[in-house]
Amino acid sequence: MRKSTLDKKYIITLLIENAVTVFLVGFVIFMVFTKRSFSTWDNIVNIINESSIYGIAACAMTVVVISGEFDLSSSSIFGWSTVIFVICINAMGIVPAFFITLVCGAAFGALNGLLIAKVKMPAFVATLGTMIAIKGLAYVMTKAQPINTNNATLKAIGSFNMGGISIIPIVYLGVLVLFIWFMRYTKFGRDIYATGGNYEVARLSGINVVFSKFIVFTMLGAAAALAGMMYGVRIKAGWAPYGQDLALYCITATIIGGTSLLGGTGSVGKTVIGVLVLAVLFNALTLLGVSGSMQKFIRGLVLITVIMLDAVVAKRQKE
Amino acid sequence: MNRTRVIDIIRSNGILLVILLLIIVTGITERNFLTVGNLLNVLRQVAVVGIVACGMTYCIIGGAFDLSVGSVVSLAGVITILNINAGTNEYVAVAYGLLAGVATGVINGTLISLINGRSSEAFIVTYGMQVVVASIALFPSNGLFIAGRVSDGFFKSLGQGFMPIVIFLGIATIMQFVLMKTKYGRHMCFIGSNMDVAKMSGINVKLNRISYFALSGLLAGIGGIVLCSRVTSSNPTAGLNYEMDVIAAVVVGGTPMSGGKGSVYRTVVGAVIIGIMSNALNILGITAYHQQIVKGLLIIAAVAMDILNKQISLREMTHAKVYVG
Amino acid sequence: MSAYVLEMKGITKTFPGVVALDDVTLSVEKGTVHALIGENGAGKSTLMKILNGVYTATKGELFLEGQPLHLQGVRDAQEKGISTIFQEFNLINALSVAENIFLGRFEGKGQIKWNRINRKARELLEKLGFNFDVSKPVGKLSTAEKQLVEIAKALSYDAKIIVMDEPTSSLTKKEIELFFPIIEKLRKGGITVIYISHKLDEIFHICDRVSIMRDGKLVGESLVSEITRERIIELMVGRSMEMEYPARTASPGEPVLEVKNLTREPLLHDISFTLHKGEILGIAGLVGAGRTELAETIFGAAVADSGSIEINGKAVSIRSTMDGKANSIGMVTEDRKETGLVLDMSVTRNITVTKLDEVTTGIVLSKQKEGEVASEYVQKLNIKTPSINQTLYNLSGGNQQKVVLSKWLFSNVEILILDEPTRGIDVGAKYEIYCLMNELTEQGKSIIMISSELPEVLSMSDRILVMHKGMIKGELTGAKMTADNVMQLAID
Repeated sequence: MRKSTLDKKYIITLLIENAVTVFLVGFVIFMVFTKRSFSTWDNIVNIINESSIYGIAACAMTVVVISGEFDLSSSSIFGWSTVIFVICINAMGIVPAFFITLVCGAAFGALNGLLIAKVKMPAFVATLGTMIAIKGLAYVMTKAQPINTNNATLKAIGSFNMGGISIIPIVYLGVLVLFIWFMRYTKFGRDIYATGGNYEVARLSGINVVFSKFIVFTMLGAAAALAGMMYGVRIKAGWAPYGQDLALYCITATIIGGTSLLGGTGSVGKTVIGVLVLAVLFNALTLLGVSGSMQKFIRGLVLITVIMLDAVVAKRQKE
Repeated sequence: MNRTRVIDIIRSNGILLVILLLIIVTGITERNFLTVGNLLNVLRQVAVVGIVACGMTYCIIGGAFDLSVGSVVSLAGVITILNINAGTNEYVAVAYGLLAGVATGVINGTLISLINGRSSEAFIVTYGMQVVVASIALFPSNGLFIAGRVSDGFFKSLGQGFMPIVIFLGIATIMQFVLMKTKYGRHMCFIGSNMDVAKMSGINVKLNRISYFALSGLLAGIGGIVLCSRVTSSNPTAGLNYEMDVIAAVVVGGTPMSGGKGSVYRTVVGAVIIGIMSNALNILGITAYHQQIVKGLLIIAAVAMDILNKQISLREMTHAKVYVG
Repeated sequence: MSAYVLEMKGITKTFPGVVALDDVTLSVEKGTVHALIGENGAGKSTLMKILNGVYTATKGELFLEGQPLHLQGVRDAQEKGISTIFQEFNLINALSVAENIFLGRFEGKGQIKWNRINRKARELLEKLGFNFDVSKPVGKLSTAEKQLVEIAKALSYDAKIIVMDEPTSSLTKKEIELFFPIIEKLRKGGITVIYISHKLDEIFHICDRVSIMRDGKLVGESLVSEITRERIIELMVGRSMEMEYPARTASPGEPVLEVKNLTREPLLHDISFTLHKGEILGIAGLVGAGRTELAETIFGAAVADSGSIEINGKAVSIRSTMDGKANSIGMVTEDRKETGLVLDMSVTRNITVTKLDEVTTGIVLSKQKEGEVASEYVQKLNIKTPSINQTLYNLSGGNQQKVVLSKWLFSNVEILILDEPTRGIDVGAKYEIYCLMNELTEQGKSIIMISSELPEVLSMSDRILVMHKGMIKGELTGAKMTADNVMQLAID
């Protein structure tokens, strides 16, 4: 008799664990039959192009979550990067602009890393503080106005097209492969898993846990900057408020992908599923004519739902 | 007073001292800064942030965190103005606004209690609620500004003259009293210090925690209504980024993020000091965006100082004498 | 060159206010299994923490194969050939078996070669005579398998010495049978094992030498073949058993608490027992037998799936700690620092928290009343503190424990559950706590005492329940209350 209760519990856990995937499959089927424009090639390409920008940052956010932390300031780093990228392009061309933006993004990330890994501030306060400060900085640099660029190279890159697929998904794919490799096949990647899995055991095993926590934030800073630049490539403009919902989106995608907020488990590859789920969901909502504020509402709801599911699953697994 | 005492005071109030210095310098250079009129004006301006910050203080002392307050400020204002415009009794309209705040808080608290969430879970759940509530505030007017058809009366009086200051200080006094002098406040300190100890002492941890979020929601509602009353209109994004100012007030006041300790009075001091600082920066011609940078750095510095302090005192403690029995 | 693989000479370790080790000298021969035995608090774990680099000795020297040894930490000790397997495994559940074995030591430049690492991990396990999937996360393994991973990890460091802390405490009988041959293999491979255990049978079964510790001193050492069981116990306990425990003064009366068929899957199964007025009911059993879980369920910190609880003949529903308290039950938890006390609050606040209504005038907490209450208990329980406003950080374990007791005495509970009431407490304070337990039962209160210290259970209980795997395996009364009988029931 004991066995059957355990079995029931196990099935329920399995269902909860995969609730989002089950929901997605159902939703896609529903869309395919009700909305013709949903399953067209153009729309599918559109979903891929749209989701790739935040997807780049989501890779690095996953790594941060695996290390047992999270980061809000990536939204601001993204917005700030669109600004500095366009400013630098206009001033000195695309190549220096690319490197300057990337390094600056990494530097902001490193600041987060320093505060969290070394000073041992809670991640939510530290990244909240840097989020406000960096956004302020981005506003200050353009006097709060959006700025544009007419750089020819940028335009050429932006108009790259392969069967509807732009340059951005290709960059995303590159970043994705790089991160998957990094987390699976390098010592640093494994140290991050160990640090998130059990900080004390990792420390006692001689792993540089402080460095692990430091490096994940630095990488996220760089990835958010890269994502910002991709956005710049697409719209050829920079403005501080761009990417405001980035952190929310990335954390949600990470948790949907099955990476637990507790740290130590999950993978960058799985987050792709999370990114796709969100992209499909919001694409469909747009096609269904759901308003912007309603979409925002749903976005918040999705985050709350997945974090609650995550916690419930963790609790069940512990038992 | 000996030397170590002085160092102690500097150490534990570093941020406040820096800001005081700024205020003194501005006071000397700008004639119309340290006038009674200007300071009263500042107090009026910080009242709304201050009221909301009192609720946040409870949340933080109770070991949690509420990011949704800014959205509640917006929503409570929208609901109240809409009802007043629809001809609802003023008192009832205000009650609806407050109810929205309490409801948000109860949802926050229930969800977080359900998963036994600590600060970081509380943070993400209320972050989600922030987005949800903010978008609800957008629905009725499609995000547009709503002018209030407000006549003189109860509602209008809430935001005029000294009323915001009275409400702010009144609330702060009551909350400080409850925190320091009652069973409820003592339980809050235990829950914030160590939820397990509180539970194993027979304290109703879940219900108490829900109440902190409910109070935080209620106070954000009051803040939103006072804000609306002052400008007799509602802006569905009025509370955007309010949580930043609120958190800044709490941490600059010196309530630690780790929970279990702190005071509402400190938050009042934090709110007022930040208000005066913003005012001084305005007078010095520094833009709002520059001030945003300062505010972000201020939060980081205040929390970092607190953590470093704690590390120092922990080290001192381990060298201290142990009383053996 | 010395015949000993390890020598610890004149090791003394003091903590503020406590001498944990007093001039201990231990020599271990190569390729032997050396038992270290002693009661809880005798200093075994402190000695081993010096050996594995967690602590540095206040005085004394270490020699490994005749060379002076200075350790910088756990990792350093491992690299020098000393590995320790704690009861709480140092493994990361989310990571695979192979990765745990080579944690923090991926050799070579460039990318990690998982094939090689997995192969090496497999080889290590095969050396121990086992073969299981090394890519499985450790969290999914059984306790015995986790232990193997720890041993494989030690082998991967080319360990000369492996310290095992109570290695069989959470293994099943079958698993233990499989475990002994592994030790044998290690010995044959020239590896020295320091074997910490309470179980005399095991020591006689597999160990070569035994060292006995008591009160931070080494009190005896012998070849296992030249010593008797009785002699070891005598050395462990000393001859002051009567002096350590006051005689019971109260006698049990009416039933107070009746637990019937209490079940909480998968930890507790069908538990029934009765507690009488003025009784001390001892609950013995191994770690993980479900004792603490039972206590938590009675107190309301966890909820039972089925079963009933009656207090004074009336059925009560206990679904939260508030219910527990309302039904006049109090619980002194095992880990006072994590769940018993808020260390950075004052003595006063920690005592009054269970019944703040009592110290409230109107709605205001009365500082004066709180002070009176705190002073009363500080005096009554002889809590050594400079003031009632002192935070608990700087109080010794014994005094902290008295504060936990005070908080439930103040709440005036009728049923007190004590989970390991004297863990980490010095002898003087222990005696005081035992006297207090006598006094309380004389006043008609009832006590459930969970304890892993056999002498304590045997001396202080009126009756003993022995738990095993979430069930009550037996009840001992009167003359049946002997160490042997308890252990017989506690182990499979």
